Amino acid sequence: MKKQTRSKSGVFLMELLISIGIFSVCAAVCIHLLAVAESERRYSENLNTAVNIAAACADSFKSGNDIEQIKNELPKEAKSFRCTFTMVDDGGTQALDIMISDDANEYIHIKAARKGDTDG
Amino acid sequence: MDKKRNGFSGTGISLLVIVFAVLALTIFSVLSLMTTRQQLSLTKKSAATQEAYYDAEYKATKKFNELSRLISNDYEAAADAAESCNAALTKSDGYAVCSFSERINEKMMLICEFSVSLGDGKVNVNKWYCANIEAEEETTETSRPQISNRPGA
Repeated sequence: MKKQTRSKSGVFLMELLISIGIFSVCAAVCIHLLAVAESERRYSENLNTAVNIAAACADSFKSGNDIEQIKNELPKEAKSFRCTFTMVDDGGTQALDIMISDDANEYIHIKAARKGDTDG
Repeated sequence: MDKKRNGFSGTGISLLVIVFAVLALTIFSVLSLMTTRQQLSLTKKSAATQEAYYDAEYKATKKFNELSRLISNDYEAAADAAESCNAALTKSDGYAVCSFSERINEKMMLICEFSVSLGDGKVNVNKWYCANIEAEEETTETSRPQISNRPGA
């Protein structure tokens, strides 16, 4: 009777060890997947914000504001990005080179041009 | 009865629990990865469209500035320049009307039209909007009158 109990607990322990081993491997893979998903979500969120900031800056420039005014009007989300503005004069057309990046990525790079004097 | 109760040792239950836990973990992690992948692809597409739009608008604005300056100074020279850059230039009632389009991507284009008063050189933007290429081509082919509430249209 004693021999049988030892054998059963041995089987149980073996099973528990195997289960924990399988669980550890699968959990490691799944946690890696979740980490990848989290990093992609953060990149996607940053890209979306960067696109909105760039569009806002471009529209601000087109409405006649200069670089200082554009910098002052930047939304608070822009604090976590590096916003680079370069004024370009391309054959009489005033253009603003806008680049939104951070330490790891360059998110968007657009060029906004301003129309000359118009009535409408 | 006692014998039966003692026979139950819990063998297999831990494996079952682990299998369910791993299954749940796998399903949630794969679903979360798929969602973020789709979201990222949509955001990248949106960013690419935005970049393409500003690129097209930059080219169109450059063309607009060059042509409007030329038209106010010398209409004949402007006609040649308009022809070389695929813009249509017409003259009516003391106004020169210039229209051109700039491709944004495979589906969209930027339609631009402006008029310049030949007397005082005042420039007026009549049309400046994005349009679907197929819809615009269809409109041009059938010559349907454009009914819209776009500003300047």
